[in-house]
Amino acid sequence: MIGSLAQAFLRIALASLGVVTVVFFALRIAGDPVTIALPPGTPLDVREIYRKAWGLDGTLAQQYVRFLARLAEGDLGRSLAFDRPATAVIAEYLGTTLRLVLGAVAIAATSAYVNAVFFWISAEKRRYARLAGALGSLNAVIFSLSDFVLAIVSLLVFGLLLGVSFSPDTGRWNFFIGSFCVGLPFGAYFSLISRRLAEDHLKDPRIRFLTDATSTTWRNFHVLFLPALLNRCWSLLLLRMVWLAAGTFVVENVLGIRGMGYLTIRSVAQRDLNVTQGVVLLIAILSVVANIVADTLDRRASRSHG
Amino acid sequence: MTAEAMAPRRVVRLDRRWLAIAGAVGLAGLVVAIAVADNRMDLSARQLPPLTGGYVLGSDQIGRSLLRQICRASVITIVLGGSASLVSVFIGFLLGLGSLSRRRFVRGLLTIVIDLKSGLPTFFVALLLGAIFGQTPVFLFTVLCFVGVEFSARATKDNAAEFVSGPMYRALVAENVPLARRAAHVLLFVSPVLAPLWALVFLEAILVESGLSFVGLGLRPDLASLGVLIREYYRIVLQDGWPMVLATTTLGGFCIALFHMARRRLG
Repeated sequence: MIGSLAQAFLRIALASLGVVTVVFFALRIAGDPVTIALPPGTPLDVREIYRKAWGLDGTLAQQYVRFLARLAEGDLGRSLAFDRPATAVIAEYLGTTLRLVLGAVAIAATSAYVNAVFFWISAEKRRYARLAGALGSLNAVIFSLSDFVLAIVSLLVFGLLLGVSFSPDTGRWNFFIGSFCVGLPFGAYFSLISRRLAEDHLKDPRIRFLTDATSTTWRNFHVLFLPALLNRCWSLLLLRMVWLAAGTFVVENVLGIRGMGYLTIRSVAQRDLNVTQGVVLLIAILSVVANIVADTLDRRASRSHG
Repeated sequence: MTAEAMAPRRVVRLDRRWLAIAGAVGLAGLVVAIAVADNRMDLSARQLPPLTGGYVLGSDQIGRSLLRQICRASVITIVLGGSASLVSVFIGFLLGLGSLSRRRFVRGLLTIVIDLKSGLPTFFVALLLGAIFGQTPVFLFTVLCFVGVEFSARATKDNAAEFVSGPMYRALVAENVPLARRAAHVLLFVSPVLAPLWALVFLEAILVESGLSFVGLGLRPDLASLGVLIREYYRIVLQDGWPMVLATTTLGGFCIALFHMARRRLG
């Protein structure tokens, strides 16, 4: 147990270090950050003052060693654009994105659950085939449109037709609609899986026998189908969580939500190196953790089956 | 008869259904529309509604035909997304084939590459690389070439394993058929799965491109794809929402059509 935990931490540390190292050098090789960040015509001596203040003096190797030493203490340096610690800036914007992600997960879970219940009832009772087909098509459309197109459609429908304000400062519905735009395609993805799985599950003669022997569809769903569905979807769910986070980045920019997506685009455009590196580190850790947990769950599931 | 001559030649047949015909007619219509659509900039004909002043879909704020703009952007989106996704599927095919290698190191390394790629959303990668290396179409194309590589790699790995471990492939090896020709046989074998996967990768590529262009890190306005158009129209949406409705509907239509094509084949 301790060995596998140590191995997991090592994987997270190595992968995060690898990603951050690549980004560190790539951001600096692409152009002098001081020249890009400061307005054209800034005197050389002023540039040198900023270069020192932002820790961009010395050779690349020296900068890298300084960066790693600071990172070990949990310090990402100062934000070039905000002139505050990068960790504080990221923490401020992260809260907004986390709220959006939580809202999206709640909507996705509700939508996937309701759909799964209906698909199970339809498959078990061999009824409502047309309605199930229509619901499947609706889910397919929602999934294919993705969060980006859904956000723009919402902006047009709610903003233009119904006059809802999406201003970052005064808008009240940004979060709610944003959560729907991110959560619905996520829920639709699992709804499509649950439809297929419900039909496959009922092809098993043992399951068919059990469902025919009892008339309590509700109980059958929770006892016979839901555990199998969750068992199949846990690892996919974790991997897809990172994709859901990516979805929030786009939706935030469309609907004027000041979260990590807004911050990332801004820091990338302004070459705010320390904030960009912090965001990358966060995404790398999230991605590697999701991969490791998904791997572990997959291994456990295959062991219990085998 | 040699084993190579007897090897299965499973190729993807075009679906002769109405949807495929409708798609072909739609594409042909797009090309014709670009050829005949009016591209003049007429400042006296600004923001005209559809079917007025000779503009079928109306005009924008500087009097340009919306039809012409949407058609041109659609072609850029289709060409960029379609060709990049084709390259991506091919890279995935090679990776998947490599992960079946008998050499343990190669197999392990390629499996790690595929796993890492599947855990990292393309949008993040594209966002950062696009910001670092600039907004050139060539660079964007390169980034899009890695969209969904993991899907085709996994599909190749899972499906080709059956063929590679079978007697036909062993006979090809025994006959000393060159590796490239053996790979071509594997490609034919997995093509029924790779073709619909290409539609899915195509869908993801156009969404990534549109998303990047929308946030200002994709193509520039002089090479306006649908994402760029949506970004441009987004700025004037309160004054004139119609162009954005058109661009969004077109992008949404492509997404639904591509997903439908993939879903019909993959189930």
